[in-house]
Amino acid sequence: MSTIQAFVLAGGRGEQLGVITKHRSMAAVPFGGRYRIIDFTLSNCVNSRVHSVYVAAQYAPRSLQEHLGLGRPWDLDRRDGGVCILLPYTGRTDSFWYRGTADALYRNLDMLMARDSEMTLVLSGDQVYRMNYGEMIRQHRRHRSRVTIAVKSVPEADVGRFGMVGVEGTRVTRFEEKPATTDLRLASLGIYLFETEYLMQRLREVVPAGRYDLVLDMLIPAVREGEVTAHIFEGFWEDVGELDTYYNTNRSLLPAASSYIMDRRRPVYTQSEERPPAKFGATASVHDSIIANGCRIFGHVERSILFPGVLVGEGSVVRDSILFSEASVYRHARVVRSILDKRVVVGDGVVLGHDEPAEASLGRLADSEVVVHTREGLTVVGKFTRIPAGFDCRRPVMLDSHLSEDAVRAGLGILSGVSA
Amino acid sequence: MSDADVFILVGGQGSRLSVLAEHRAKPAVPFAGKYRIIDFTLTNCVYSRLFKIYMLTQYRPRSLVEHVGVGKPWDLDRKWGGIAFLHPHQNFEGSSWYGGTADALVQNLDVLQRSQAEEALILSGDHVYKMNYEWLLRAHREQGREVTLCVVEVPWEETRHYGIVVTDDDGTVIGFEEKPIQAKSNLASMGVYVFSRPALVRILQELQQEHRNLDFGQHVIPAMQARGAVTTYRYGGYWLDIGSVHSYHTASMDLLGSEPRLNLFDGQWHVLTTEHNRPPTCVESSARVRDSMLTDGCQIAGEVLGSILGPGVVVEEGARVEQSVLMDDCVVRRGALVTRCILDKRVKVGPKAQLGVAGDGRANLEQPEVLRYGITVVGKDAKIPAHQVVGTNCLVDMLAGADDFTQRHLPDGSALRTQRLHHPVR
Repeated sequence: MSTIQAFVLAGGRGEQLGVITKHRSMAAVPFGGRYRIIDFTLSNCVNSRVHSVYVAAQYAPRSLQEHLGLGRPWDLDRRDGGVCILLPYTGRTDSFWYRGTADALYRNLDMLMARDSEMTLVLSGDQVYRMNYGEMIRQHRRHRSRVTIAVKSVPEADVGRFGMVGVEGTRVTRFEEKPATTDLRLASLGIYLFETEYLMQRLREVVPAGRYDLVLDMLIPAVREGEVTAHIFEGFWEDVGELDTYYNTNRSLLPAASSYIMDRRRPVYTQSEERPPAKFGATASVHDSIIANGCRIFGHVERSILFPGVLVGEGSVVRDSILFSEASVYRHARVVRSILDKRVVVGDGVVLGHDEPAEASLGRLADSEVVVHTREGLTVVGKFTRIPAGFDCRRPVMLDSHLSEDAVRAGLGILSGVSA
Repeated sequence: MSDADVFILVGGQGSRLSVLAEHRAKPAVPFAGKYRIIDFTLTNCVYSRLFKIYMLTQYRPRSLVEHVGVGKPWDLDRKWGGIAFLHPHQNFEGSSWYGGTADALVQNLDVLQRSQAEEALILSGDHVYKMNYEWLLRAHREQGREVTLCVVEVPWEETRHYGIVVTDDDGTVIGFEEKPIQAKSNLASMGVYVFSRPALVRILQELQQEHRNLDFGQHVIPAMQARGAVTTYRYGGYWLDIGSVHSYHTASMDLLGSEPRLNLFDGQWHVLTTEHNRPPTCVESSARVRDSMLTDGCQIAGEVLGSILGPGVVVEEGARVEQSVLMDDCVVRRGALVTRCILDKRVKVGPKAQLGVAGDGRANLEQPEVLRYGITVVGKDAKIPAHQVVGTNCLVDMLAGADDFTQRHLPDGSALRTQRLHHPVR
């Protein structure tokens, strides 16, 4: 088992999350009251005793770099192996950004070779799941495959989101990338195990020929050649790249839903900030919620997730919402179906958010082509934005980050309605 | 500017903390949910930019050593300075336990002698306070005396609980009164001393012949005071010596008010500790949590009122916890009631058990001086069987199990001991 390395693709921006991914990559998006999305993949690695981990980053990598540090929370600050962030770099002849997933691997070929690993796990940094890669590795060895991919059955309605896989025995015989309709029901989870030798050989053929995508240019041809085996995984797995799935996957952690995250034998590790225990005041009432250290609660909190250091003032109501670190809701405010990013301040008496699910367009950021959609009627507020006392907005909206009270009052930075 | 070595006295037995400190040194007793008492002193040190720290251990040091480790949470795992444990040891001159607080230093005199520091700061590991020692050291240098002793004003009616310091107008110490009935002053000694290092080496060498049990408070400071070498530094903030079960409980409850005197939410002075990886706390639909502090990893479906819960505590539906302190991973099953109790780590309270039920209020039979204010204390890993009733002022031994509970109702003042331990304490 010691000759396995992991290569985590964490370069994606996750534009569907709108202002949440304006200043951070998808992998660094906060999740579950305490974690960042990449924590799940990193914890899976160390819980599966894979201690050699490369993380390829590109978009807004600073918060990811700061979060990973030397890898200490995952015991990845080690002499042998450890975690290493790989950013695009300039070379003598090839000064490019990563042009695709295969390119990100190819540009780090020397790193892939350096540790003489027999196998390379190629993983994604923007999925939430708990998996012991050991079982997949054992199956890979048993079948002497060149490539093993993890697959899971999905409902028919979801086939358009995934690469769909057809299997005979354990051999993958068909692969359709995000088909409109298909008879296939097994989805590829973006978890690939390669013979390192084979991976390098294929990268050397494909990338110099101007093909940069791991799935289209390497995996699908390998399926055609009969080199790919499927490993069936039926545990919890979710790709949280869209706003509604992000919201609902968070909510699946609420006590009334499930609490798979509370499995003490296979913990999820993360970088923690130093905070006192959460304080519940004499006027607090909290139901069906997740509360991290350092919160101070004097109001009413229901079906919500509060990250470290959140303040909910007296007389305020927070319902069906996710509040990132140090968001503050002052007194007598009402926050419903909202995602408040770090250090957002909600002034006294503010009414924010739509009461029930509704289909809405939340507009797009100035530098992005992607219009953010929600069917959950969500309101999203970018980090550091301050919402002035008395502000009242009950329709789903997206507010930009770093807005002053005056800007919000003047209606600037409210992105909804700005169409592409 | 801070060029002082720090010596933290962490060897004492906290006998007045009952079962909480029978199996661990007092500084290692958990406090305020996620901390240990020692965290406050270590945090003070590093925020005061003092990074060379010696811990003088003796009584049951293992949980302390495990907690402090290499000092990572305090950034004390460093190349220059850092943390070192000075435990009683054998050498070619013989071997002996530390006879007193100053004797502990006498036995490590070489450390003190070879140090390059100007001052030695002597601290106690079992106090809860936030203090910037830089100011103290600056005052010591300005005053130019050999010893500066920290004092704090206490209410006159409480002076009989403290070591009282009498000073003249310019702050020079002119006398001491140990727990006086009629005090001449209301300045209590905090057990925090700055010595000019050469002066400390000299006095220890002088006194070590006379006293085998050399103690700072009893011998060293009075000897220095007799020479007029001791001055005072007045500390104005919150300071508490968690000496007894009663003060432990009171200090814990004091954290819950709307404006507690000890502010743990001070962003400039977050207390640092060894964090364990826990998911955030789950508060379920049926829960009612008021006026309490909850650490990460709790699962609450019942009622928690006016209480402090450490990491990983479970309170099931229909259970109620009030005015209590529950340490790591305690479990309170359905329908159980816990009132005015301190439960050490991993205590399991069975379904419909009741702890802290008021009866005649009798003081504890085994520890009448310690357990007489209505608090019941349960040692770690004890299992309280279903439907068991336990009164106030009770003591339940560490590891006590169902077969130890021979009575369905333990009356007030009971002391339930078990033979399960390898090393019984009594």
